[in-house]
Amino acid sequence: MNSLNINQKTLLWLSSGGVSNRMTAKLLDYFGSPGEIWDNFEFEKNNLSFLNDRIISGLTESKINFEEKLSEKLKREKVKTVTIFDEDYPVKLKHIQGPPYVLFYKGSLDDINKTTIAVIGSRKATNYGKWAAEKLTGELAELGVNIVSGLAVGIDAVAHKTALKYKAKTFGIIGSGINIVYPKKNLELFKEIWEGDKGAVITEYPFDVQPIAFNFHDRNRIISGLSDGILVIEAQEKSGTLITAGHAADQGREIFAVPGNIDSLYSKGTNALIKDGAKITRSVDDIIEEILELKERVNKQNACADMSTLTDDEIKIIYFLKSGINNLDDLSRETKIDTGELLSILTFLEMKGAIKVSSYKVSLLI
Amino acid sequence: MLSRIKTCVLYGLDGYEVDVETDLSGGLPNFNIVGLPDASIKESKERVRAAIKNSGFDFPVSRITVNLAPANLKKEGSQIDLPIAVGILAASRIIKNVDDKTFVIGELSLDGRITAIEGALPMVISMRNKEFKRAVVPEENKEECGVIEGIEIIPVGSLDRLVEYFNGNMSIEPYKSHYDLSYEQDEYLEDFSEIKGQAAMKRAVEVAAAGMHNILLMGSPGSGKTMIAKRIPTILPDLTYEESLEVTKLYSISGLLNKKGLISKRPFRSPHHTSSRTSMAGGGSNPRPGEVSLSHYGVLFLDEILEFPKNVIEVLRQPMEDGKITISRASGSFTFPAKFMLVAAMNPCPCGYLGDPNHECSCSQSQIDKYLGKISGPLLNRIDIQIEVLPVKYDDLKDEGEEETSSQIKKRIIMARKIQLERYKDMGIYTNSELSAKGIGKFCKINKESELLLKNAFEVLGLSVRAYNKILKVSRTIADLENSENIETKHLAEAIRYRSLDRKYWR
Repeated sequence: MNSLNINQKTLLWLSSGGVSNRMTAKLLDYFGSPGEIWDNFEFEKNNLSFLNDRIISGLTESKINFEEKLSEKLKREKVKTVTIFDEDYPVKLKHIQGPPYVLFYKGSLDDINKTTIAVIGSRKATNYGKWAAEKLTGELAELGVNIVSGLAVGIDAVAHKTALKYKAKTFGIIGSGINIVYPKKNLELFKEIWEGDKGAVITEYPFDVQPIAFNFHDRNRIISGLSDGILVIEAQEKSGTLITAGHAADQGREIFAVPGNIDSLYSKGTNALIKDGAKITRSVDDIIEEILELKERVNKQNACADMSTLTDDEIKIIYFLKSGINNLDDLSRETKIDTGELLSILTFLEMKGAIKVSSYKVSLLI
Repeated sequence: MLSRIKTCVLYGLDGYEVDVETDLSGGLPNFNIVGLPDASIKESKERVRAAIKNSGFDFPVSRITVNLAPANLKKEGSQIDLPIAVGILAASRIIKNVDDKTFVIGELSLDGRITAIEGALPMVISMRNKEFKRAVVPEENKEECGVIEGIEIIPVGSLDRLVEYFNGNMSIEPYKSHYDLSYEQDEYLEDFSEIKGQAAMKRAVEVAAAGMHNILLMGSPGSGKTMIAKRIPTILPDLTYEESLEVTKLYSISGLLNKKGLISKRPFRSPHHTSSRTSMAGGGSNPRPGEVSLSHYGVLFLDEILEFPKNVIEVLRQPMEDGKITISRASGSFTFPAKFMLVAAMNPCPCGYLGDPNHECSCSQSQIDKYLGKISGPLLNRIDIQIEVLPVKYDDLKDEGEEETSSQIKKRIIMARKIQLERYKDMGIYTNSELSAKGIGKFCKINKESELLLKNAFEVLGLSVRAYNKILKVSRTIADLENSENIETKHLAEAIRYRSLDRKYWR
């Protein structure tokens, strides 16, 4: 691991010392920047009434040789970290309210900024819920969508497993320290995700933090924060899943809910979401419809060739389309390409997902 | 005192040899025709009597019996007038000799003139095939009959001249009409160059014409559907001699020849949507060809195809499949050829403006569904090219740019047709549109890349399965237009464009 810059060092130090995300925010407020915190902590520590003494003394103690100790531990556990000041911090997460200053993760954060859907639901899912989770996640995964979930049992586990099966990236957000696997039952799943490039297990909590109920509440904001939309498969009334949905709504994410029988306990939450305006999700098309990037991807995915393989004539046509020409007659006049040939090039372009030809006009998709 | 004169009656397009036997015998003067004559032949008694008298001959005062043999065949048609008159004159020894390699057809007027008949051409062709050497035909039918090789055509204008001819007092030069199939060229008043813009539609029509593919044009009113359809004849290649003979036969029996010889231009028929089933298919107690047959080797243009009654449209199904139509009546069943290129035009909805960017469509969805539902799947299935026509833009109308003329387009089409004729020379078909599923497998092979493209197209564009063979056939034609032996991916890509309706309207 390369040596840490002052921002990283300070944030990791605070986090490891048990300073919560909210407290970190306050400290930053107080000192002005991470560097100031690091440099002036000793002088000001008696003025920090919002931190309790145990934490302050812990921080003072751990500051000595902090970087070496942490590096060694991270290396041993194969854990990586990213802070909010880093370039590779997930873009979507940066803009939510109360973003985590530090993320610990195992695996790889590659592609985390691509289109992402959180698939969440009850731990005690019904067979219907599991079926729906597998079907919808599978279809999303086939489109290359990242799947985010909470690595719990039930729907979460189905979502991660299905994503892995279809070779989509999947990110599991947990509510404990990165070295704590909870629930134990999912150990294999944890391993599968962090081994190889299949995604990552992510948490904002430092080592050894136990999975207490309160953590999951905060964890849920990261699940929705990392996503473009959340797909709620099954949820009971007043469940953690609905909390995530609440976060999603606050963060302006699309909320998709799978409808269920009105007498099913596990569909009460999702049906209520639908009543409150969540998008009813009967098939993956309902999701694609709402998420612009997905719509485009659907078109592009159907392409039989890559964009970079456009021929000269194709590029020429795209050039004219970009200049505002949108019908066949004008195109053939401007490009001076023979009509027959023009028609055939348009087919190729449409196959490549670059354009859409409707009856009256040609529109550019790229 | 007996005479026997050869003549001919038509069944459908086939002529049958008929003997007109005339016997004069003593007894009360009487005139009887036997041998299943129909009303028009029974009436000929009066015309024959008057014509003989008015030509300056004596009508024999004796018991006249005319027998039309074979007696079991129903005969009809006014062409029997002349052989009956000749028979009577021969029986009364006014005409000395008529050899049995000569046959006589013609209608008589009361003053002895011989007037035109319908179906002279198919009769002469059939009789030539029965090894007759000479045909006596009405003067007015000489142009159509004169094109036939292997038989002498003796055109005669009146009965007295015919008697002179038979008696050897006067010779009539056998008539040969000089058929030059190209002599009517460039007579069209319309030309493709008058259509401004509409490049895609023009190209689709060119492809359709090159392969004789049926084509459906859908577009809002004023988009030029009718305009372009009317100009299709100007780009079609001229009829070959064989084709021309067949077409002329059909026109001959329908009485539509107007003294002309062979028809050299491909027929263009555009029946109105009030046409009945019979007029479309052909029929009548003695069946005549309908519009489908009259557009044989040419274009059948149905403007506003959805305004035609459904039963009239569905009549098209057999001919579009088999290239002929069979009409069954009490008097027998008749088969007429009917290989036509269907050009159909329609609006996208009852008000016509569905999808038009400039007008609002005022139709409800159920109206639209009902409207489009009128055209049946099986029929649609037989239309290879289906395209949407754009409304014309004002800018295009005033644009002074050079447009291709009909003769330029025609040149390419003629070349493409030649390639097709050559390719299918032993198969009894002329064009790509006639290819069977087996033929498609043989002649429309595509490479791996094209297969992938086609597969993708089905998924991306949502084409229906029935489009598969059509796309292949059309791409064959596009390749022929480019004189390319193999169907290349770009040809296929263009053909895919011509199924733009498939995914939108019918799925």
